[in-house]
Amino acid sequence: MSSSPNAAVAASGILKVPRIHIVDNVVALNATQNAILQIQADADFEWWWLSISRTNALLKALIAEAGSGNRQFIYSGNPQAQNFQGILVDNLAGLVANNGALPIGVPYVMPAGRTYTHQFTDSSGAQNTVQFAYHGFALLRVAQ
Amino acid sequence: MGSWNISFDRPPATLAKQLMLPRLMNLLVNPFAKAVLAGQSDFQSAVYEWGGNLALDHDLQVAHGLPQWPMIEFSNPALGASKTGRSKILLPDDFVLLSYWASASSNVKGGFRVMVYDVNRRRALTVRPVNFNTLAGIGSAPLFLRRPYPFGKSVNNSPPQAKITIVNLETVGNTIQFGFYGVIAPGYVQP
Repeated sequence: MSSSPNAAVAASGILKVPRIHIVDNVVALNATQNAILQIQADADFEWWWLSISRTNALLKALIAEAGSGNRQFIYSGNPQAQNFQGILVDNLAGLVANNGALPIGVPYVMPAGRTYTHQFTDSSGAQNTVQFAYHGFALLRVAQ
Repeated sequence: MGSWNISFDRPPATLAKQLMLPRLMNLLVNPFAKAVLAGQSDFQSAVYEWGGNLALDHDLQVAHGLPQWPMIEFSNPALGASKTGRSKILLPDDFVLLSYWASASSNVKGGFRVMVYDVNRRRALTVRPVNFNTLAGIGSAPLFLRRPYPFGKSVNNSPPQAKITIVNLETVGNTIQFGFYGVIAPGYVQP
């Protein structure tokens, strides 16, 4: 019998290590602020679920992937829309505790080290504390 | 004989039900647990492997598309009382629709109704205006299409697009968001 913990790794040689990437921000009242998510450098990240907590639902978000032409995850279907601030966060996902995490229909691989810009816009008139939790797996290459 | 294949002398064909993932997870006997027992290597995988056949489309999993939330909104100004608003959602090539989502700031008299129309195919995706709450949930309660819908590619330089007609049922201005959740999946063909 092998005593190595890697003996159970799939034939692909990739060990999926559960990982949660977090984006935290405290958005000042009626303000627009940015926050950056940077994928850990040790492994690509396979994104499976998104869950969100916030103080007040009157909070919009935009997410863009850097490094590949700033690809937008969220965009206005009308390119002529002015002052587009994004999706209300409750339309994006909810809490795990309420079975409200959004399953990513096709798990998306975020490359190691890549950054994702989050723009938050509050319209609640009060300070809004928000957390985005990206649930998934670090795709760790393991020597067999 | 029409194309509906209706017959009154035999039971209707068995159709699989639309299922929401949260609802699946609330089942007394969690079907995903069954999938784990059936040999799936891990629970998370089982959710998608099993869900792939039921709530999501398994074939999409090979595409590894970029998740997308194209949307429209009537906000600043809100859609006026009892007014109708029209807009389009221009989509990238190879966009595949997985679910709708919607929200309204006022929902006393039903919020709003919406019609969705595939412009390039000239096909209505809603035959009559649908109340937003019966068409779509929000991010914490999505209703996934049993078969993801590919909008296809541009036709004569006309990008894939959906025409959206929204009727505000409220007697006050309504701040409305409506959109799609989907992925870019080149080459995806409905099974």
